[in-house]
Amino acid sequence: MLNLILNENMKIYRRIRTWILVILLFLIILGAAILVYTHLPQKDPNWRVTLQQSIVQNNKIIQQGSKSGVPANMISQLKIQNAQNQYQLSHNMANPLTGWQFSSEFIMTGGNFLLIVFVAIVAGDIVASEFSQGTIKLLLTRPRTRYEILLSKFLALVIFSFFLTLCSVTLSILIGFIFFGTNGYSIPTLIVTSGGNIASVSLISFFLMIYGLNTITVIAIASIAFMISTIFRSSAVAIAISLITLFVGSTISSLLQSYSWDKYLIFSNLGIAGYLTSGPTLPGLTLTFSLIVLFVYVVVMIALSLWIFKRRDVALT
Amino acid sequence: MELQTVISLRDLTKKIGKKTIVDHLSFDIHQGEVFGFLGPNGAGKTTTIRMMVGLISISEGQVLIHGKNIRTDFKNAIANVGCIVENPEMYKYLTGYQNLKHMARMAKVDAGNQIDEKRISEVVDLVGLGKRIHDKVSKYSLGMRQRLGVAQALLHRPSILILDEPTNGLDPAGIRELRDQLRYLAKEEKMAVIVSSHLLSEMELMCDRVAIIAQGKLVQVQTVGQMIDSEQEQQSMSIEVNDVGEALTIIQRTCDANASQSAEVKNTIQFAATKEQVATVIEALVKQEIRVYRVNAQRKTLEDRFLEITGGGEIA
Repeated sequence: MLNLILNENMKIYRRIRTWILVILLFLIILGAAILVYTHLPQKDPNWRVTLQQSIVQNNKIIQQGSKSGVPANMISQLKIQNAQNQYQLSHNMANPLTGWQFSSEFIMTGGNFLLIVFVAIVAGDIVASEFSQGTIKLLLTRPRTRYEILLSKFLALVIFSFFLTLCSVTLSILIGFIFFGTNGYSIPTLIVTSGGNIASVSLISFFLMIYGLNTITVIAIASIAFMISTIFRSSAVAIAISLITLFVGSTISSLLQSYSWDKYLIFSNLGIAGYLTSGPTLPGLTLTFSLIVLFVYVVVMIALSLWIFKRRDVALT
Repeated sequence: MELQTVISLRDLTKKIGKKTIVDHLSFDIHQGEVFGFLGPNGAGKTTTIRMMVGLISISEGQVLIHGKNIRTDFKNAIANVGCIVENPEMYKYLTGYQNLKHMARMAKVDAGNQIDEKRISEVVDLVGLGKRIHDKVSKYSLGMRQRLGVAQALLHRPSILILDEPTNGLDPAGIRELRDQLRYLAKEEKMAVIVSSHLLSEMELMCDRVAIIAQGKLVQVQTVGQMIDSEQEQQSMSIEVNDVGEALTIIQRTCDANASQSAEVKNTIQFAATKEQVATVIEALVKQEIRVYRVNAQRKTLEDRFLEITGGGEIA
């Protein structure tokens, strides 16, 4: 099995396409950094006053919140904002954006989608291309079971998800340092706990959590692409369907909000990294619940892929 | 000497829906022979080969490789086989060497049969790819891809080599080279080599025995020698004489009522006769003082025989 995974890795990393994706990732992070840097707010001499006013306003909304029907995740976000503003005031920091914050902001706002799209491209192709190139015949006429072949491909995909995440962390921190400095390690990072309260965690564990949870979302979407790739043997269809799930999924989820089974849909559980910064999107969802749902979906999709792959006649191409 | 059987087909059948693509094929293939599957397009050759290597499921019957059932003991059965099904498709974005490494990693894991770098370079030398092995396959010519295909099939020292339509797309030099290579592997390395083709003249030069398949059924298994020369068979003859009219009546009387004057060659008669009948005809002509300049036996090729057997090779 190890040998098969080595093979799949070789086929991923010896392909120019993979490195084009990494270079693209680098360019997009660089572009984002340049954009943020040129749009940094002018030094406001009254920044203390502005922050204090915003704290007062936020507190009003928070107090009225529960009565006037402001969504819970919005209130959580305001609470976090207040706590951060308070920290800025007490530490005399006019501008809180540093390299570390740039990196975490990047993965929360856009970087996550980017990683999903890139991994889906590889996932949608990993089985389909063996069929379209005819090389599937090389794989299936060697003393390995079809289960082993397909599982090695999936595991290589999981490794690739971690690889691309690691690229993203490293590149965004390095570029963040260059543009926004290396300070800010000690700025409190606040998360919403499962009980809806605000808690402070260390920067390292915050990074591990958001990047880790995002990787789980990446793997879940990659599994969709992988399954479609195995069933339809078309990389275009696989990439399209998995990305449609990603972009239309949250809309579908909120449309079906009134049904009690909405929370069991895969769409409703994909945004798990967001639970940390603003809490769950649907009532009844928790991080543990979503992780279990995603795990079950991935297992079912891989089992279905294996079942179909095992029975497939590799007919005339 | 009893030849060792390496592959047995037992009532091998493939049905798709109600259509029977391959219909109860049974025969044995021995060590050290080049065995051909012969049949028109759509006869079921490729389907048969794909069942033999486990690419498609078997509806009925069995394929036994060294006595091991491909369906129930796939890993042990297929470990003896090297194959190229249709074109030698390799990973184009990898080099030839990386492709071989990929295949080496897929071999059966046991201590006695490790495929190390030495073995890889051995096979590279065998197929003569030495200089170009570290180039990307996308830069290879078709002939070189064919060589790489053979190299990957031989890598794990199989006792059976299966090639589906191996001469497709090769130029005459490439075909010749491949033929010599396959004959060498069968004779010197004692491998069983199985090829399928509809190129009859090729099969005639390449194979020891052929199985003729038409419409999914086995028509017969024969040695190539048997198929071409048969004592009792009539062969088509042409004879050049000085007096065509006289000679024609004599030939029509003595052996072949359908004998006719050749339209293309002057003073020549074409007729069909067995070996003995030819002697009789010549004797009769000479007795009538007709001068016989030339007698040609048109050697029956596998092609003629094949067309006879399959009834013109119509597609079902």
